[in-house]
Amino acid sequence: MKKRFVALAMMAVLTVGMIAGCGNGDGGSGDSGNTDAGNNTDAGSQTQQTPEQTEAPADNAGDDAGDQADASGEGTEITVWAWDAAFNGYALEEAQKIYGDGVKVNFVEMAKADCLQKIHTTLASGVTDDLPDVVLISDLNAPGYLMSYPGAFRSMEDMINYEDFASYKKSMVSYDGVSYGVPFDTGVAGLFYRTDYIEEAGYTAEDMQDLTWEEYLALGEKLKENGHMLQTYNPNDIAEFQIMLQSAGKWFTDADGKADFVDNAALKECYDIFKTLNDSDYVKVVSDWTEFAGAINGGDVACVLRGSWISSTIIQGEDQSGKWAVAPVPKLSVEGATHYSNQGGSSWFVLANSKNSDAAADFMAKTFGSSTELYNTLLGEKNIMGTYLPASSAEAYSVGSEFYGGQTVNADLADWLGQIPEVPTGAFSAEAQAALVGVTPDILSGGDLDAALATAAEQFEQSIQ
Amino acid sequence: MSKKGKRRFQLTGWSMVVVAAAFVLFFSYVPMVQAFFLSLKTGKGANLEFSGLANYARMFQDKVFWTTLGNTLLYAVIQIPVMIFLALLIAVLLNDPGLKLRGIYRTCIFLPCVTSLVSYSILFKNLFAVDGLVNQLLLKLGLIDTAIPFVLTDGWAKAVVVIALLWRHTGYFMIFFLSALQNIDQSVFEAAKLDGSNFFQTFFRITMPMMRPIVFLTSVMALNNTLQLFDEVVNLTNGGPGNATRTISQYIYDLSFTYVPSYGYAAAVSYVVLLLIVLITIVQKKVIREK
Repeated sequence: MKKRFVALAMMAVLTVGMIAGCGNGDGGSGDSGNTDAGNNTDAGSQTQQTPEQTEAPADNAGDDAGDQADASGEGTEITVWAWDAAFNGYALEEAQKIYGDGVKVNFVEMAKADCLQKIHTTLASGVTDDLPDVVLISDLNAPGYLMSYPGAFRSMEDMINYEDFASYKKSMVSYDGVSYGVPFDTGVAGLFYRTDYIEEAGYTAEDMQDLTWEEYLALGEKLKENGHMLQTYNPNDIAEFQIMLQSAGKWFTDADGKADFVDNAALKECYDIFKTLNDSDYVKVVSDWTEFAGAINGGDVACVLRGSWISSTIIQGEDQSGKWAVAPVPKLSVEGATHYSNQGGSSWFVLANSKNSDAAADFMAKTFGSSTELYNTLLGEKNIMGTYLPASSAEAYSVGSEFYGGQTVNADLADWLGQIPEVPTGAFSAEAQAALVGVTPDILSGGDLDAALATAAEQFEQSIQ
Repeated sequence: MSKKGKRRFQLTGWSMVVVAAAFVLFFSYVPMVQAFFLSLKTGKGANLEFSGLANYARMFQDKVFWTTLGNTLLYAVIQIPVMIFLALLIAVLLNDPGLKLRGIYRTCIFLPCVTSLVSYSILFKNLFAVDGLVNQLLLKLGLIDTAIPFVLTDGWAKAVVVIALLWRHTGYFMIFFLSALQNIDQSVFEAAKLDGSNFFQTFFRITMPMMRPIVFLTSVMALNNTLQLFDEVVNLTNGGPGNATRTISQYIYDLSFTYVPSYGYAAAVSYVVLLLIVLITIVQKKVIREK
């Protein structure tokens, strides 16, 4: 009798487990949770931090956002796949308000990695029944999608004026001379620093404005004497290279999409700097996003070099309000180097074969494609900075930020935004970074740089065939 | 049983499995055949064209493929024997009828394998982080002077993955051995005891040989698991430093989703993994039978 009861209980548990399992499978897109840290970065690069970033601030509204949209409004329903309800979801809501009742936006939230993967599987299957009307794609990934699925995305050239957007952004949403995406947010890069720490080291805000990398590293030595670390360092993460290379108008690949490793002076300087950091005693070694964010919020490091989206992480350290400021990024010594760069950012893409493609294109063109009002709201309310240049005269730009000691951060970032060198990132940024990460341990342990870069170039050419 | 009765008996059997079999056919075997045809095509994303065995030839040039394959096999070679031995040993210890609180020990050792792959990986990552518990402990005990960046150094990162795998899966295989042990006739052990055999003699000379079929089964299962290793590595080290801990499954994922997708090549790599599992299983079967 007892045995039979146990057997029954086991059955029940197993059955429930199976049902629960299936349930998870269906709803997995939503509750795998973990939105991205801001609208960030790195093109599915293999850097250590990528998966971590997806687990950083889990401000995840789950499936609710989608359900809510079902309840209200009439008009044509357009389905949008994107991540981060607090950022992209909010932007869509505001866009809906501006566009009016003509369409009803159904925002389907997924984690960033899930979203990017699901677009792949949906488009590769060739099935058009359940296509979303609009998808959000991070800029570095976008050319890969445009290349992989010809005809799947709708060109917006006749609907929006690409001259109105930051010039670097246009090349990121174009493939083969045709522009597809509606540019959205920026990852304009900045050197975020602790004003109190650098003052201890004898530096002023003015000193920080025009740093070279050499001076920046020297700052590290000084900070160390006062018991502070310069920045975090993860030997398995070369995300900062994106900022350094673009600041000099270079990239991992050249205009033809070939590996630009061996003869790339900027990349070599990146590795010199990386190796200096590796050998130094003034960096905080971290192995993932949690430690990285912890080092920032815990006051371990004086500087953070990232796209502007990092601000949402920095301001979580509320006790440090007033002690942070932003400067342009340090300059490399190679020809063409500037203080302006970018890391991350995403754009909207309208699918050509979806049910309400026309309505979606019109919606996007009239909101994200041309509405100064929308961008003003986004900036004023949530510090979401777009790449729409006509919007940069807005009032929200001239307001000083309390957290950043009264600095007009938005105005500064917007000023730098227009000066970011345009680089043809091509479709294979993730492959290039993976090939480089593969040889990075050799370089750090003192191996020959040219030989390592040549090996990486070979692997890269192999991986893009 | 009469001929008719036997037929009826078989029909009953078939009627019970036919639904499941149809599902397996459509959702497992048909896709496998499709994947094979996919593996003969090259191109990025949807731009696929038939190109014979080009993908299989490409693997020979692909250093990352060989690195990841090597890593995967290394995990298997180190982790599986250690795990099976530990599982067997623990099973024998816990099978002792004289042991008090057996149930509690069994539960404790089995418990790790009900944790989700992702959550235990994250837990291990926190333990072995630069500021993690393990480093703090070693520092406090004075065994090391500076924290070891476990997941950032080649050898350590591999070791952490193996340790995590051992923690998670040993208990699972122990259950197989426990149930197998209970099927061994107790009189064999009693006879051994009477003849003056000690614990180790009994373990190596009697228990292990009698468990041969179950050792085979578990090692095939463990091999299958390890060759498909994905969650742990992605969450613990993300394949790093460099490609030092990257597994073949993670590489297949990268080829399909992290990079501009090469579905054909990814399918070809998957087929090589399948081939490998089949080959190793045949060899294992031969070896174990010969003994």
